[in-house]
Amino acid sequence: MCSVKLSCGERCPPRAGRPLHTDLPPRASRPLRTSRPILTGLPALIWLAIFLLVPVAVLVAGHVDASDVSRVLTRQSTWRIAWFSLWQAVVSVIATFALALPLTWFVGRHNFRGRRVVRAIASVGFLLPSVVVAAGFIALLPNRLHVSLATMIAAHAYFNIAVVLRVVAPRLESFDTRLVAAARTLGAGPLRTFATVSWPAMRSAVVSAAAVVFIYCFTSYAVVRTLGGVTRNTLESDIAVRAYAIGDIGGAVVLSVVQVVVIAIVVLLGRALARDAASTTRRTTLTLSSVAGMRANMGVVIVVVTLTLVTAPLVALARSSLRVGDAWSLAGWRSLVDNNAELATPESAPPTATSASALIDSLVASGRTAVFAAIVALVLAAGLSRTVVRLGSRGRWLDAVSMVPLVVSPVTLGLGLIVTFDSGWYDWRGAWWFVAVVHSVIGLPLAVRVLVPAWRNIAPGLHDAAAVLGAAPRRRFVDIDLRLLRPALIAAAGLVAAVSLGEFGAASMLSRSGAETMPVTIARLLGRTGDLVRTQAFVLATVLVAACITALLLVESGARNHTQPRDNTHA
Amino acid sequence: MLDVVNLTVRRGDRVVFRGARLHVEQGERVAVHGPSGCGKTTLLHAIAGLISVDTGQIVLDGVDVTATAAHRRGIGLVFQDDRLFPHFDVADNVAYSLRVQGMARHERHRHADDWLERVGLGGFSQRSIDSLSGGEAKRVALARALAASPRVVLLDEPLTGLDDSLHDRLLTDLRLLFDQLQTTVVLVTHDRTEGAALAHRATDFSALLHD
Repeated sequence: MCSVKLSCGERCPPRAGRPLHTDLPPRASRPLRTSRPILTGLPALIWLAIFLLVPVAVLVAGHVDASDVSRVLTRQSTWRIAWFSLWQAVVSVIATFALALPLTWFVGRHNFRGRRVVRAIASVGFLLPSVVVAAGFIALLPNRLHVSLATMIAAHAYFNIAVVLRVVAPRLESFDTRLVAAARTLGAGPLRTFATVSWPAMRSAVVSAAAVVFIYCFTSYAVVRTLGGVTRNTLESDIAVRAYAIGDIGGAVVLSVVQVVVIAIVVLLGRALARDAASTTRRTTLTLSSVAGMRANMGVVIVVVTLTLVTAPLVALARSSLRVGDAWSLAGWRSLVDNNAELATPESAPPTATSASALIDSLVASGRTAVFAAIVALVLAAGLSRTVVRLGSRGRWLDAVSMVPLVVSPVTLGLGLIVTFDSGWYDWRGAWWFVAVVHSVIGLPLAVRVLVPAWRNIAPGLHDAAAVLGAAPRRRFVDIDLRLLRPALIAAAGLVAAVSLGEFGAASMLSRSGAETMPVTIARLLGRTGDLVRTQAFVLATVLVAACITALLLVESGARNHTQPRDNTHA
Repeated sequence: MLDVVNLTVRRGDRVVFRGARLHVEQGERVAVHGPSGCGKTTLLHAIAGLISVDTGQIVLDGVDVTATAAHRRGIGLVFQDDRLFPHFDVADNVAYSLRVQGMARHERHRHADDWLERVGLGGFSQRSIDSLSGGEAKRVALARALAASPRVVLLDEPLTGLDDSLHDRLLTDLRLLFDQLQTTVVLVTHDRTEGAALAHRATDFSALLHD
């Protein structure tokens, strides 16, 4: 069979080429892969230019004059708010690390049964919408603590535990503890060993995590608005107040610029500190310690306490969705599906409750927005990340450009989009997909961060191997790139969808009545009076938690299934 | 059968080799020797169409294929580092070229099983690539290249990195297989005994350069 086919023309590829000429002029050097790397990244760059750079430029260039700058910057309240934004963010970073470090150390340095589950549960907070976290704290805490600085900071710490865990624990896992032993044998005491060996190895991860947590807390909006009360304003919430409540667009823009400058400084500082440390770090993969004795007991305490703290607001949320006032009731859930549902308690009067159709509209709007944002961000990020990888070291600038949406806060972005697109020939804000477009911009950097390492992991030699086996470029893209990228694509899509489901700042500015996303509806309901209204907020928040967790579980299982080697597709 | 005519390849400003010439007859096995870094692998990649050439021609059965894309040349290449597809199992790796040609799944898997049997890996079709030893991976890479029914097979240091006993066993198996298939082979290696054992004719890489 095979030997016959080898030498005959039965399955040989058709002969290709041109007749032999020996006197041809020399050809210029010509790479076989001729497509320009920048082409795949262009759509994302254009997208960012239209929906990020232009709105921000219009905001700064068209709506601010010198009087706005002097008016805002000379006002004492501006600096009071800026100072509050700054110190509450610093305190939130400290609180986050205090809460997360014990578990991070235990998970990062030890191997135990259920380690992955513990890490997954502890990460849930980060993937939950900030409005839901705020709702969870309201459901958990007594009334007098619903609006307080401590609650606000606790909420910040709550959803940033995952950042510390996900960034610092992997570095702990790869830290070569033999270096510590080496330093000790050379006469270094514990403190000197920590300062000269352990800390330099950990510094970049700790600095990166701290910078990310700081930025999230510094630009916090939903938590501040829900748990901070009317007397506490961060720059982000004050931008929203000025732009929408007072109509002071110029003042809002000046504050936005101040905020962007602070974030840019933190990002640059973080990158500089992290780079210095990373270059001196020798990483290795070591077997993690197993847990026994005292350390096991300590581990159990750390895991139980942290997981209790993480799950308590969610349990309280579900519990509160089953209570109207002081009584157990399914009225909140019934009101989700039945416009004419009989209300359980007399104090929850129908006029204050939101109709089932409005709640369902909110669910549909959120789902639709998340799917659209995920698809758009995925396509754009796939192209952009490919360009970043193909450009090699020249692609660093592009990598940095793709991170710009992280520097511009959602509220600022929403404001810029309103100013830019609200007076045009087309009613952009009336289009349901406009919020999704904004979410695709916000989600793009996250998708790029997931996809760049995935592209890098595809060995370039595989394309050559497929080429000599007869695969044309498109076929190679499908069989190699898409197949190997699939887990990362699924993960990126899930991440963007989760971000979109929970995004509040931009959605609260751009959503219109009838097409509000769930976080906007939840925040609106929490801000109103009436027991049933509040229960409806908890019901929606519970649904949102379930949707986020389900989406993430599907992403996890999808990614796991697609890493199986068997090829079950038909050619 | 295969003619390499005055081939010059540059990488940036550096000339990798200039004026390389090689003639291989149908069914002939030619070994090219040379030290590491002399340009042997580059020559194979140029013949396979994976890199561009500055001047010269690659002629296959009387047709100039110099400007033809790699996937249309019908030239097989077994890479030094195997380059097996990690996301496919062994059978899907071996059957990849058949899949590209549009062959039905059950039929291409039957062919893959035949080829695996031929290279001494019967029963390996469901194995993942990660589970293969170095020698097994070499055999799978060879079966994959041969399953494509190439007009010429290029072997880039095919036995490098294997321990002595495995090296000798695979050398014997390869010779028997190529004898049976009458495959046209260009083999590059730094190991002269390997070339002598496998090829009908051996030459130094430096002897190919006529400029």
